[in-house]
Amino acid sequence: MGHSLETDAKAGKAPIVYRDTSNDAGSLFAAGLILNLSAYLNQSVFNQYAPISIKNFELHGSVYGLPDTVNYILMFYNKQYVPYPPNTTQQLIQIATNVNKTYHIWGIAYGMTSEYGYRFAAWFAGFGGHIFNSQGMPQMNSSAMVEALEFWYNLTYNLHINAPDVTPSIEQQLFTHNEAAIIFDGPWDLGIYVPALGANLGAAPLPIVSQTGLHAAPFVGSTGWVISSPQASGATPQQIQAALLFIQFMTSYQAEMNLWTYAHDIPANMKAYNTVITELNNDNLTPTYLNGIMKGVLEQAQYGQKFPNIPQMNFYWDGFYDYATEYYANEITATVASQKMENYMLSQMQQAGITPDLLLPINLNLLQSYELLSNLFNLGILGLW
Amino acid sequence: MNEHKLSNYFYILPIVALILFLFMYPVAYAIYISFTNFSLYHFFKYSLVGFQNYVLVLTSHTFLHILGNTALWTVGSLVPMMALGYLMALVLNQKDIRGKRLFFTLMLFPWAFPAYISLLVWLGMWNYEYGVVNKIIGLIHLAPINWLTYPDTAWIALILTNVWLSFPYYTAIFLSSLQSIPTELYEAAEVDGASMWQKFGRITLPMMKTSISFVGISGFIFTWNNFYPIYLLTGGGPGESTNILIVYAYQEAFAYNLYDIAAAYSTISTIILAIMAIIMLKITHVLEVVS
Repeated sequence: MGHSLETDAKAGKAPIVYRDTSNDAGSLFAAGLILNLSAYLNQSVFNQYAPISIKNFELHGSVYGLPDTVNYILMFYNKQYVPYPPNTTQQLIQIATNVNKTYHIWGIAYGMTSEYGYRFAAWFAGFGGHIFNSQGMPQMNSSAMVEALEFWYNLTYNLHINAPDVTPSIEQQLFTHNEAAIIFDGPWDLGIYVPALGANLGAAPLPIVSQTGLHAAPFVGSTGWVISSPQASGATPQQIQAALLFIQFMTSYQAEMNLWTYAHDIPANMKAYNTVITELNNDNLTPTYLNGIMKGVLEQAQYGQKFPNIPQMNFYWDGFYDYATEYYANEITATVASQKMENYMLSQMQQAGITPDLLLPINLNLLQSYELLSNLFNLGILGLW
Repeated sequence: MNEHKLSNYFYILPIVALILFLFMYPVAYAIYISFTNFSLYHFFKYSLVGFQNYVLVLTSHTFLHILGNTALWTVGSLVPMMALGYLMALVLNQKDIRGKRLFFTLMLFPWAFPAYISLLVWLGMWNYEYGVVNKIIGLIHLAPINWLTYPDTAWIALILTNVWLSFPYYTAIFLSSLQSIPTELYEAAEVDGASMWQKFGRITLPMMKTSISFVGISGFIFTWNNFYPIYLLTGGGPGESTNILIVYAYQEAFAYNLYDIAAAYSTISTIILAIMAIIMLKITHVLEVVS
C-alpha cells in the first residue's frame, strides 16, 4: 500500500483518507505526506483513546492519526499438549521438550529464518536490549542481541524443539493441525485459531527470560486512520474537514465495538475498551472459552514496549533479517551479526541523511504508566490470573 | 526526392515518439534521480548532489558482493539452461523418436505457466518440513535439508528452479534452428562417410552459431535482470548471500524508500550489462550477420 501511496503523493493525487499502521504512517508523516492532526483537533479528541495508542501516532509532539485497534503479539498454546502456559523461558524449554518427546510434534513453531524482527524484538527486550537509545541511535550491537539470537539458535538446532525453516503460514498450519504446541502471534489471527482449536486454545503473555528476569516485551503498536497532507492529495480545506469527521466516525465507540464484536480487535477507543473489559469480567463472550482466551490476550498488554515510529525504524527490518539469517546459516557468529545489524542501520541512516532524533524516549514496560494497565487492575482482569 | 525522404521519416515518427515517451523518458528520469538526494526523507524538496550516490554505491562492500552474486546467478543459470536446452533439442530433432510432439508440448509447460505461480510452488517444494524435494531425498535415506536457509544450498535451489523454468524456451529456439539446417548437407556428409561427431562438428554447430550466440546474449541480459526467482525464493538471503543487483535496487527503493540509491544501482547495473552485451556482440558478430 505504501508504495502506491508514495507514487500517488508524488503526483499530488494520494487518497485523502486511509488506514495504516502507526509505524508506517510515522515515516510518511516525517516525510510530509500526512496531515498533522494536532493542528486541527483539540486535545479532548485525543483523550478519547488509550494513551499508548495515541503515543503510537505521535511524532515530535504532533498527532498524525486516530487509532482504532491496539496490536501486539503474545503466546498461543494448545491445551491438549501444554498443561499450563510457561511463565519463564526455562519452563518453555521444559514444556516444549516434553511435548516433543511425548507427542512427537514440534514444541514451538517460530520461524526465525523468515523473521524481519517484529516478533524477535520481544525477545531482544527480554534479554535487556533496546533497538534505539534516547537519541534515536541504533543499539543492536549488544550482548542482549547476541544472547537472544543464540537462545533461539539453541532451541532450534541444538535442542530441536522449535521447527526450522517455517514461514508464518507454515507456523499456522503446524499449530492448527496439532503439529506444534506453541506459537507467537497477534490477536488478529484469532479467526484462524479459534475455529481450529476451539476450547483447546490458550492465550498467555510471552514468558519471562530466565537469564534476566525480564518479560519478553512485544511491540505495542496501533492501527488507525490518517489523512494525507494537501500537498500529497491535493485536498481542498472542505475535503480535509470532511476527512476529519470521517476518521472520528471510524474510530468512534460504535465503530470500534463492531471491530471487537466481529474480529476481536482490541479497541483503542477508551470507552469501547472499558466496555470490552466489562464484557470479559461478566464472561459475556460466547462461546464461554473465548473469555479466557481474550483475558490472556489483554494480559500481555502490560508487558509491551512502544513501537518506535521514527523514520530510522524502517532500516531495522532488513538489517535484522539480513544478519540474523546469516547467523542462522552459520555464516557469521551472533556477535558479528549484532555488529553488522547496527552498522547496517547506521549506514542506511547516513544514506538517507537522517540525523539522531532527540525526541525518542523508548522505555520498556511503557504501558505501566498508562491508564490501560490501571484499567486492567481496576477491573479485575489481572486478579483473575 | 526530398519529399520522399521526408515522408519516409514521417512514417516512423509514431514509433520514435512511443520509444521516447515509454522508454527514454523513464530512463532519463531514473538517471536524473540518481544525481539527487530524492528519498522518503527528502520527498517534496530534493536537490542535486552530483556523483555522491555513485561514490556511495561503488565504494561500498555490498556493491562488489552483489555484483559477484549477479555474475554467479547469470552464468550459473545460463550455462546449464543452454546446455540442457540444446541437448533436448538434439534429442527431439531425431527422426525416429515416437511421441515427440506430445513430449515437446508437455515440456513447454514450465515455460508457458505463469512464472510467479511456478515460483510459489517451488518455494513450497524446497521447504524443509513439507517440501517434496526433501520427501524425495528421504526415499534414498538422506537427511532433509534446509535448502533456502544456507547460502550453498540456496544457490543450488535457485539455479535448479531457474533452469527448470527456462530451459524449454532454449529447447524451442534451438529446435527450430536445427530444423532449418538443410537435410541435403547431412545427406552429402553421409555419402562422404562422415561420422556422427563429424556431422555435428562440421555442420550442426557452425550452422547454429548465430542462433546460439543470439540466444546466449539475449539470455544473459534476461537472466541478469531476472527478478522474481530470487525475490520470491530467498529474498536475497540468507543475509545478502543470494542477492543480485536488480533485487537489491528494488529493496533500496521500496523497503527503505531510498530512490536515489536505487536509481544509482539501476544505472550502474545497466551500464555494466550494456558494456558486456557490446563486447559479446563484437565477439560473436551477431549484429553483422543480422544486418
